[in-house]
Amino acid sequence: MPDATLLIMTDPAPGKAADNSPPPNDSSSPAPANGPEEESSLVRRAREGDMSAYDDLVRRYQERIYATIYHMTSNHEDASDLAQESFIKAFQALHSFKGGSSFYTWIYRIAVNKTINFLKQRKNRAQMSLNDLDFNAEHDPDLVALISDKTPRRDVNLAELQEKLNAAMQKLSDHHRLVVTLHDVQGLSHEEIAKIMECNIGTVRSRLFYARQQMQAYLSDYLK
Amino acid sequence: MSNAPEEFEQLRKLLKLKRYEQPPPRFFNEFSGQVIDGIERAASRGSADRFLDNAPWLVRFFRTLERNALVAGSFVTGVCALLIGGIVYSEYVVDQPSGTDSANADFAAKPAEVSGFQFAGTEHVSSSLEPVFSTNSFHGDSLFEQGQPSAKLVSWSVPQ
Repeated sequence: MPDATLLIMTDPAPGKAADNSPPPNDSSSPAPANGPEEESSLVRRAREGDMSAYDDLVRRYQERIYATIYHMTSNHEDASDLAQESFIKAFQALHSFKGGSSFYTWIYRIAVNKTINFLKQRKNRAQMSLNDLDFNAEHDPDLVALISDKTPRRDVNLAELQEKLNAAMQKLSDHHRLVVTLHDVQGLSHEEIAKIMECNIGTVRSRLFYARQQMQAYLSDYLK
Repeated sequence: MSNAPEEFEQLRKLLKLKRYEQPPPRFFNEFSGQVIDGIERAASRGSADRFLDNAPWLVRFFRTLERNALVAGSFVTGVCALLIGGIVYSEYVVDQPSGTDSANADFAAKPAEVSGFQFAGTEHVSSSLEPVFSTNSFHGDSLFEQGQPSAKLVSWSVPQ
């Protein structure tokens, strides 16, 4: 199977937000990795019980699905469990997938619904379990510009910044956090988010605006 | 309301940090295998589990039994009463055969000609209580004779 991540990097989704290019090692990008024909063929084979075909589908989307759930929960263990459950549920419901949307939109929708249900049950028991930052973060010019004025101890401040950022995201409502995650972190277009969330584009724009406003308020100390 | 990029530029730069958060090494190498294992485990789950999944009322009923001792006691008493009642009733029926049973027994005891059945060449009248394919009951050209075992005496000598 071709390396899906590399293909994703070179094939951004149409309508993707400007200046939203993911870092080289980022695994969460919106566009499907390969052509729709190959995807539909994999889906058809998986529906017939071909586990190797479904294994290919999982490998193709696992990083994006995991990343979405992780950014929603700020907890690696929860994200891992929910991502697995989402793929298992998708396999079990594969017979009901009619192909009206792409498989990737469909699996995203399953993962998002599962995550929102989980977050409703979790309520106030939120506990962050953050992933380590990739070492390339220290060399990102945008991030360097944000922290270099304050202290030369960049690694410590990046970790602190990461914690504050995740805490701020957890203060958002589930739907606002989802829009920020899908658009500003994963780079999906408004249209794609509207399909995944099954709402209209205006709602997506509105939620994104209010979510950013709230985030800006929470993180005002770090955005001067 | 405006979503102009410049309005939230700093925030968007800060959010880039989220993209550098990486799961533990080799996490994705093992992930799909875990998913496939999970699918196979789910498929091999017992049919009882699947039945309970499709019958949430039954799950609720069992939970009620677990939580409420009075309901559980009443349920067990009811089941026991039903069982004992069934046993008593079945013994009563065995002791006193019903009218239809005795009628059947009379019919079986009557000769075949009374019932309108007469087999050619039969010397012995069979009833429903006797085996139909009795080897000593049928002779002659009856179809039932075909395939019946018959023994004949044979003599032969071993060549010198």
